[in-house]
Amino acid sequence: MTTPGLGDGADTAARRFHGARWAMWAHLAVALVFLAAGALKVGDPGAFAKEIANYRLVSPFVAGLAALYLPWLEISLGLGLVWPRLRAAARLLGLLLLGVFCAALVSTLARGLDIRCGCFGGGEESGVTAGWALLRNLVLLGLLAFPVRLGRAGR
Amino acid sequence: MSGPGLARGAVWLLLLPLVPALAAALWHPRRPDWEALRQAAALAPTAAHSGGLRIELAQARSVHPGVLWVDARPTRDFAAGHIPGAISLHEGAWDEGFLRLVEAWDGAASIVVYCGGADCRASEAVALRLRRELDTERVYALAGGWEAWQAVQGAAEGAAR
Repeated sequence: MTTPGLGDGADTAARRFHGARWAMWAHLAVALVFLAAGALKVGDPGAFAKEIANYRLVSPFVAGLAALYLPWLEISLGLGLVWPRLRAAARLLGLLLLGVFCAALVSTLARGLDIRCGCFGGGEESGVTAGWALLRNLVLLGLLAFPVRLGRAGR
Repeated sequence: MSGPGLARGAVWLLLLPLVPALAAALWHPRRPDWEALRQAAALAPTAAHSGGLRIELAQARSVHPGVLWVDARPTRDFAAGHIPGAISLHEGAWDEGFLRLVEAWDGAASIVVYCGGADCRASEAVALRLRRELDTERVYALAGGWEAWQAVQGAAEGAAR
């Protein structure tokens, strides 16, 4: 549908503008979540390593390495999402990372493991189950992926 | 962003966190305890370790001199309902639950751990860990879990009416 009084080109430009604005807010929201998640975990990589080990998907050695690296990767992606030159790469890596997190959470649900998500470190509310964490990650995935489609729809 | 630019940005975003991660591995006061992680992994339940672990409800109730029930479900499920006298202990909040267990256990009673139902595996994981930490074989995982308990309670209440 064309905006009254505007041609197809102006309409397309308006839709692209709105798509880009939505994308900016969505990416900012995800960036804040990444930054908070990383910042809350860098203080105690030992506790985070135990949370990862509870998933029983990787060896203890890999859990320890992941606990040292993942919080800083989340901070890196959070900063990348707000820096225009790195935003596309951060979005791609963010989608991959959230996909891996979702797969791990689905795996715990499938195996009936009653463990804490560990997504925001050891101080996280213990009531956050794998199901809720999965839902939260799917929302974040949507926030990263959907605005890209919205922006492209106007092209 | 072009393909090469995208790849270059991704490489930077992946490589930069290595620097603080390496520093944390060397100097962080709370860096991972590799030995503790290795021991935790050794406690993970496997088919080979599960022999003699499962116990039926009727068998558990007849154990002499008694049973200390341990609820391995999430805390909110425990709050919603549990076997009378049970202690909440799950891997998400191990330290607090283990302390409660040690205070309540007299050293003589067998410990029976249960989770939600027949399909969950949390009771096996907790029972195996307790066997190791308490150095006793008299820790079991209840077959059928909380669902089995409720089914028996429901049948008993129905018969009493």
